[in-house]
Amino acid sequence: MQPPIDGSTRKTLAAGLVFLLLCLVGLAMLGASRAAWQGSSMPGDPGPFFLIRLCLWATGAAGAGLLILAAVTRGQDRGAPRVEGPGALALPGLLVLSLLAMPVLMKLLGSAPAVAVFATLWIGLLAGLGHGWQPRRLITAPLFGVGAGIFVQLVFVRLLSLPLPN
Amino acid sequence: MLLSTFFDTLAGFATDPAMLGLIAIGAVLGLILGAVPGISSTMALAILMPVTFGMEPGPAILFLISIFMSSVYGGSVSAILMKLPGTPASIFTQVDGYPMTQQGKAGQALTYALAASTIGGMIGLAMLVVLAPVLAGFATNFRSPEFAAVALFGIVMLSFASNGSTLVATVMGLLGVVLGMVGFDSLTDAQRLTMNAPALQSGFNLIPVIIGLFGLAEILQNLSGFRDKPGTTPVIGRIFVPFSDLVSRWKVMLRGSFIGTFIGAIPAAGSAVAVSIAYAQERRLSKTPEKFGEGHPDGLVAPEAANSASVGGSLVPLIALGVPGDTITAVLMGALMVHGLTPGPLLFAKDPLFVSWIYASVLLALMATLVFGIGMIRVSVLVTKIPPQLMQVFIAVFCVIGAFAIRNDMNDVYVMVGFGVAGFVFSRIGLPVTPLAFGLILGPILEENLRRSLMISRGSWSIFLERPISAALIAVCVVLVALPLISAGLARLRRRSSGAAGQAR
Repeated sequence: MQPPIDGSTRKTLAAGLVFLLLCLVGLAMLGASRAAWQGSSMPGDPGPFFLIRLCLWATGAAGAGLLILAAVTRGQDRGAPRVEGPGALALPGLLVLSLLAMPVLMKLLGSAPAVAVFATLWIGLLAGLGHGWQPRRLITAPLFGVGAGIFVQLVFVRLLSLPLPN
Repeated sequence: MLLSTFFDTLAGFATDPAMLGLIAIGAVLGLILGAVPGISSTMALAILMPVTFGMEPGPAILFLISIFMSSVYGGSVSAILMKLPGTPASIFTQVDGYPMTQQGKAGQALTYALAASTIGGMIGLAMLVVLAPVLAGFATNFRSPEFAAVALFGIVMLSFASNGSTLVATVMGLLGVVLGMVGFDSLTDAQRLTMNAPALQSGFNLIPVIIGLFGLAEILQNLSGFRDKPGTTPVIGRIFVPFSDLVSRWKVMLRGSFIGTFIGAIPAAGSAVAVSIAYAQERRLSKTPEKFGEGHPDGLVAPEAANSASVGGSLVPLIALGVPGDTITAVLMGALMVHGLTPGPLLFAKDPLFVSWIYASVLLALMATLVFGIGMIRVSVLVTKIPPQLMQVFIAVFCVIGAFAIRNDMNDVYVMVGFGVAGFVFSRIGLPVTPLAFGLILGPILEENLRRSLMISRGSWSIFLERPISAALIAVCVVLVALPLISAGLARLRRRSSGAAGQAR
């Protein structure tokens, strides 16, 4: 028998854990929602929590099943690529953090300047990592960054009148 | 009546300079974004959707369908020139397209692809016009049990068509259903999974979720394997293919188009399945199957025609049943709902104008793709040379603005980022995200109709088995979910019996 996810025991194990975790968190949240609800259902109606509970139990059962399969198929990894180390997650992690900071930045600086700062930093960083930290290449980053800011101002704020923070 | 509305709409769109401008911008953007490696048609549509928020529904549909149609062909450009299929549906385009590029025939390969894409799209549209009203007429007899069964069928079908384990994909669909039910319950006013957070009381808006799952997650995935490879510039060579050569391949185009339309019309089967069947079928029928994979034009024409035709096919269940045919139509459905347009079986009777907008938009988008596609054959080499990191930064900006613009709420940006991270994690551990998005769309339909059916039957589940359509659909769902288990059991039995026979010998 082969592990069901990409032939990889590691991925099957990870998926099983994720499913179980989501099931447990979901059921805990559902319990809180049920406790807070004072209403009643119509005759025949299985209630507002029925389908959610059913789906969460199915998810939990699938998670447990995947964990068992991962245990049974241990050592039969089909040579699936290993999950890379923290280095491979550094750039995605940095992007996520910078995107989480964007709403605050947009409120503080205004949308177009925030986009310009964000784009300049990221284009510079990626250009530096890709081609080396040559000043000639890095100098283009602010140009593209400011261009992105102007584009947002002209198209989204002026033309489409989106109420972006200004 | 619908036909006359269609012609009126077509004439209205085609004679209005603003509409023509919108089609042109949509087609060019779709071609460019589709041609940039790493940007799929779904992503192109998701990130450009916010641009339509300030528009009237008609122009918005025209613009979005223009992006949709042209990005389908655009995805083939990078597949042909760089062996980098932008979408799963372009995988078979590169099998014969890239060898043609290596032989210095990139221009001809792009022309074949464009011609096949246009013909396929036309046939897909014709089938859409014929099939959608028939299916919708049939579906007007649907009641709550049928709608619940169709929603369940859509989720299970997508799981079955997903790569990898059907059961795992089904669970992802169920998780999507759970996410679709977050917020106030309309029947009882119960708050579900909100933890009393005001931002969650109205549930997850579809658009930030889709932008996160398909836009941001893809950028994060690209960044995790970030490296900058210097590319080689493909040789375009001669562009035009003799007309007689194109005409001589009419059977290949027709076969590919019909396969694309019919497979595309099956909810969730998707264009990737259609192109793989079209390619396999053409190779089987060819007198020179050994040339497939070495730059055979038929190996390029068949999947391209199927790919484009599947667009029309996938719109059939969307318009007729309100069930998206694949991921991109799911995004399109989200966009239509933003504009207050809900597809479904009553649409033909209640809102024929909306249907005619879609028909006219598909036709004009195909024309625009043809015109701009020819014009961009030489330019497309430049498009594929745009540094991916530059595009990714701009797309990240679009993701933020797109998520915010839907309700002018910064909380939606956080939702988008959250789902982007979830999509990234899921794809790294091999869990498909498309069923999650489908579950999110179909979950509320499933729940509403399931509960309504049970209220009608006073809690008796037999209502789903008493009605033939819902019973048949539920039976198909059970078979589809059980099929992998049954086939695994049979394979095990076969191995045991062959092992026992070997020992006996």
